[in-house]
Amino acid sequence: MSNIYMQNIMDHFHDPENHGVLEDADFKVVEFNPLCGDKIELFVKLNENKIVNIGFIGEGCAISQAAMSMLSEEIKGKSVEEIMSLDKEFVVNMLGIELSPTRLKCALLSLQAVHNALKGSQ
Amino acid sequence: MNFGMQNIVLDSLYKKDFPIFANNPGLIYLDSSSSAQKPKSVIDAVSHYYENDYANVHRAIYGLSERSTALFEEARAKVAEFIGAASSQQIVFTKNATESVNLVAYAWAERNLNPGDTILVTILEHHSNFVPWFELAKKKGLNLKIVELNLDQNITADEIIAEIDDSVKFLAITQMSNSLGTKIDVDTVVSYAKNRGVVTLVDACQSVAHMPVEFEEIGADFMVFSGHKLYGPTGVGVLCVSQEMARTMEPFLYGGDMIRSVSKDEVLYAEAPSRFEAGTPDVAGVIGLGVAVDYLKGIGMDQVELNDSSLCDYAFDKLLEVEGVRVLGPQTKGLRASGIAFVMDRVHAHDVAQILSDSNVCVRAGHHCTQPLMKALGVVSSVRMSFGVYNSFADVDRAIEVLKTVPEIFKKKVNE
Repeated sequence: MSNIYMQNIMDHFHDPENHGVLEDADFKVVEFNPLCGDKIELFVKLNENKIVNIGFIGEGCAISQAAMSMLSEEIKGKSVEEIMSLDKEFVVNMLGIELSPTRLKCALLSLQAVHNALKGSQ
Repeated sequence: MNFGMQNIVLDSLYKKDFPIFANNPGLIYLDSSSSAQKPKSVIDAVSHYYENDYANVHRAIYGLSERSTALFEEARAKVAEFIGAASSQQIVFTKNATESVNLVAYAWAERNLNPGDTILVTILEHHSNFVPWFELAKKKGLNLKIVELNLDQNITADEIIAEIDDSVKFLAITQMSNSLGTKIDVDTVVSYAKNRGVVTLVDACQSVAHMPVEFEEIGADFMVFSGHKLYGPTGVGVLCVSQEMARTMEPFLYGGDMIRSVSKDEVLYAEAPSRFEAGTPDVAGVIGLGVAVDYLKGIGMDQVELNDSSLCDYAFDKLLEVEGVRVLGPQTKGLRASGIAFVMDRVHAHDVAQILSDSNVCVRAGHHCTQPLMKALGVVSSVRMSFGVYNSFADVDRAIEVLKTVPEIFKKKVNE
């Protein structure tokens, strides 16, 4: 088996955490990767500057969707400041796989969506 | 089975001519529609030129520059002969096919089309033969009409001709879809359009590398292609213009090398092709392209077409054996000559390409610079295998073997 398609990644891809639309979201953003058609629509609910709920829907490659699922779990309960300081390394470590520069873009779509959604809160 | 097909069953007769394969053991390169690998003769010619004959062209009196100019112009003559242009003066070197299309858009279309005129393209066009027309239409109040796919996900000459009404003044169509690998009968379309006074441009980026192409027989006003897809170096594009356009079209880029005389009050421009080649060209790239053309002539373009179309048809049959694969474009053989595109059920094209890449099989995944086409096909992206003279049936077999593992990798595991 190809090593980037590890079981935990595939599990997140098939059964993503926090999948779905949040009707009462405070912030909503749609992010695309025009090169491959990866798409993430992200919904965030804040309370006292912390993420209390998060939801997303999307389509695209296994890496982009699994990364969003994993990241959504990681940032729940964290403050906006903490989340805004997360970087590429954080996502790479979270996935635990080696990614080529092209696939890194797939993985980072999730963080980009989160950052752009929270920009509005600052 | 004829001799040509026997050649490619196990290994291509021509693979040994391409150093990339000796230097990357196990490499299976199925992305020639994006860019072809280079034969050693081309690589050597570029080095030889820099080591022995280099100087700027067209300017100096000394012998070295004259030799350099002679090599450059000899390459132009080879390209003209290769694509069946009547004279080498019709061959304009640009930096790529995209620049060639833009040259026509600015130098001819912008100056000659009027508000209300229609530019006709097909849904198959690469962005390079779509976006320049889209922008020009917006800027000048022109209509951009697009010939859509038929129910077979193909486009016939008659279907293009049916869209040519009195408002159509310019036609820009591909001779071979870079995404689907299918051939378009541009000879029939151009000959009809010409009789109606429509000016025509043929995008030969794919066709020129996969089948015999004869510019004067097609009868188009313009034909564009790039050198790097034709086994030549990167950095060279070609615009082939009809003799009439060579005489009458105004320049595009202005500057050095394209003038006859310059005074404070007046500038007179050179004749074609210099008229359209402002500044120092990619001399080494052009010389390399000349040698690439020699290489293809040595094989024969009929043989190249047989090789590449046999690979397309073989891949078509084999892809049908893979669970969840849907081939895009016509569901019949005999129509493709450059490559074949497909999607896999529930697996994104990037994931398919990644899994192939982990087994050293290089394919392209994405929209192949044809987003309107992908939308028409109802997919966001697809996987494309495309072929060159160095490919064999064994390469396709290896790709298929790896593809067959994809459904298992992507199968949802239960109770875990």
